[in-house]
Amino acid sequence: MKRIVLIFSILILILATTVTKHSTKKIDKEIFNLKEDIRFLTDQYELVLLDYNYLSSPKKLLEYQQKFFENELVPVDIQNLNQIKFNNKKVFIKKLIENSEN
Amino acid sequence: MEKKNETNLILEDYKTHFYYQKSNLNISFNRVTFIFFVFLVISIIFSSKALYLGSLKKNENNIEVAKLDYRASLIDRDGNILAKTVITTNVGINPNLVINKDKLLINLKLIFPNKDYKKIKEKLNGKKFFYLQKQISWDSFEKLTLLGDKSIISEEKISRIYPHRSLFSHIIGQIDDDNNGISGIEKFYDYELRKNNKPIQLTVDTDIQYLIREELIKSKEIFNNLGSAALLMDINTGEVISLVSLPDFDLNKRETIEDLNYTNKVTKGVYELGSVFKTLTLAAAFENNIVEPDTNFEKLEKKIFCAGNLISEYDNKLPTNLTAAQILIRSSNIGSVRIAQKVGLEKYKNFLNKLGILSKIEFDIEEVGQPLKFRWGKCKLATSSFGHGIATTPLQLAKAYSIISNGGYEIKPTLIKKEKKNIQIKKILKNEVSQKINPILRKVVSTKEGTANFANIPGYEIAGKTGTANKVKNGIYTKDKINTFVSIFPFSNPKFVLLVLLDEPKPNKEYVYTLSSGQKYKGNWRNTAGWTTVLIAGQIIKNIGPILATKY
Repeated sequence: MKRIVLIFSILILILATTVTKHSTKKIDKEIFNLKEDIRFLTDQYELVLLDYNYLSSPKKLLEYQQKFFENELVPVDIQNLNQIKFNNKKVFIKKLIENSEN
Repeated sequence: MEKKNETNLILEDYKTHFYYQKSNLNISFNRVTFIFFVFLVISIIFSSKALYLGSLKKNENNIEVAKLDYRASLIDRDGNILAKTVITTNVGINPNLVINKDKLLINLKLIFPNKDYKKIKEKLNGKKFFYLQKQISWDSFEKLTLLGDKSIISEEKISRIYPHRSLFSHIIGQIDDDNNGISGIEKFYDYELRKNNKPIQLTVDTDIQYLIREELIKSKEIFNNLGSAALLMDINTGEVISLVSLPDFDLNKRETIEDLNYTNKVTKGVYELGSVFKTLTLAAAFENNIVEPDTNFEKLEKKIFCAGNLISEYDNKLPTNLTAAQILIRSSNIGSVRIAQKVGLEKYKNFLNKLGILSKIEFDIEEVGQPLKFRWGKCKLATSSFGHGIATTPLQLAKAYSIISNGGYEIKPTLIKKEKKNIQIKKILKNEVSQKINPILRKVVSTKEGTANFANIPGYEIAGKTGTANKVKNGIYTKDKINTFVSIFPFSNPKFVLLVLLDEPKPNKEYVYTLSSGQKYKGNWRNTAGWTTVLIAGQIIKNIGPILATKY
């Protein structure tokens, strides 16, 4: 009797493993495909980012500024800048730079 | 009688130890055959699979190469790419396969109008393969492919691209033709770059790095200096926001650099930095409760001798009575010697060791200088107090200034972005040191008596100290200068340390200075940090200040 139970349980285990493996095979394949897609898209994203970084590098931006907005962009004294803060529906206006010496 | 002659013949079994023992294992012939057959089948299956795999043509060579040569990207603190490995295409021509040379030349002229076609024609008349265009753009490559010429041969290659060219050359470093890091971050993090899929994030800020570099380039136009360097660091975390050393080099060209002037001046250069050490001397006195800012030093000589060597003031008009704070503001050499003598040799030495001035610093690149070792004595104490006869790297000096000004917390300068919770903070100096020293450093910049008025940019509360030192070449002091300015800002709540160094600047008698009063002043014959480096540092802060104020 013991022998039958043992053989039977081993057979069930083998069967269960086979079924599980078979059912996860599809999921594994999907995961693999998704990972490959992500890898490809990440690579594409990085290449686009590389282009973007090159075209919007500080050197390029200053070149564009000189070319298109030479007289339009004027430096502002940072001491004249304020920052607006919202707290409990109230508006607070604060100097961007607090000068402890004044 | 007959019985006696009888021979008794006894036959005995021959006894031996060697006898055949029959085995208990009963292997039948059929069973052996069956096992043999099983193994045969298995070996046939594996062999056929191996043959099949071996017969497959490898047209994915590039993928293999890509995996072997892959290096993770480097990005700045905002996620901008600083270095990336990409697959590029090189295109060449095999002259032996060209059918119609004239037709090919006309087509090539249409695609690459700016090439030297005399040379290309000469090469076409030869027999050797030659490269037409390395790292070709997709657009041009597509046009070339559409020609359908068999002589045009393309090959894919792994390349490391640095979109900012020379901007981060001393930080990122170079790789060799086998894709191994040979300097900078590329070398120090070689293993991580090869193994990691994720990019390594640095602490540097591309915009700030660019603006600082531009100002250093301008400094050469004004002062004709041999080189220059700047370091901007977060005073509380040790994160390096910008590190520039000029001259620098284009990383994309992969040149072999042997000129010593291309040394990373911030981390590798070991210099006598002059009066910037006076801050450390006064801080040592505050740490040991030996003097207060208003402690009077009376009857200060204009010159003293130590073991036959002259120590004098750079400005003979300095008053003979000065407070400890005034000694630093007016940069008195003799006053600093007196403070150091009060501190004493052991305490002074321990203080410098605590700040990490005298030993090699641990950093994220291998190009780190070793501060010069020397034997301490009374005269060495005297000269060290004002930065003479003691040499260290600008990086270590910036670190020391950070600790003195940030409330006494030890920091570890770093180029690698870490989460804030992973940054360990250890207090090594008393609070009072920063509380006392920062207002004095502010006066160096904000008062007329101070030596750094050109850096008094409104709104940023700059504090700092200048240092003018004679450059040592082959162990001999020369007339050439190393002019340094270390600034801390905003002084009421320090966040940043900025060190600017000019290597061998020359006075510019044509340059028009704008004084703090608004007056113009043409010409300068003083080759001091106050008239050279401070001016550049002021311009740098003016340009990067808005970014620092709004972003950090």
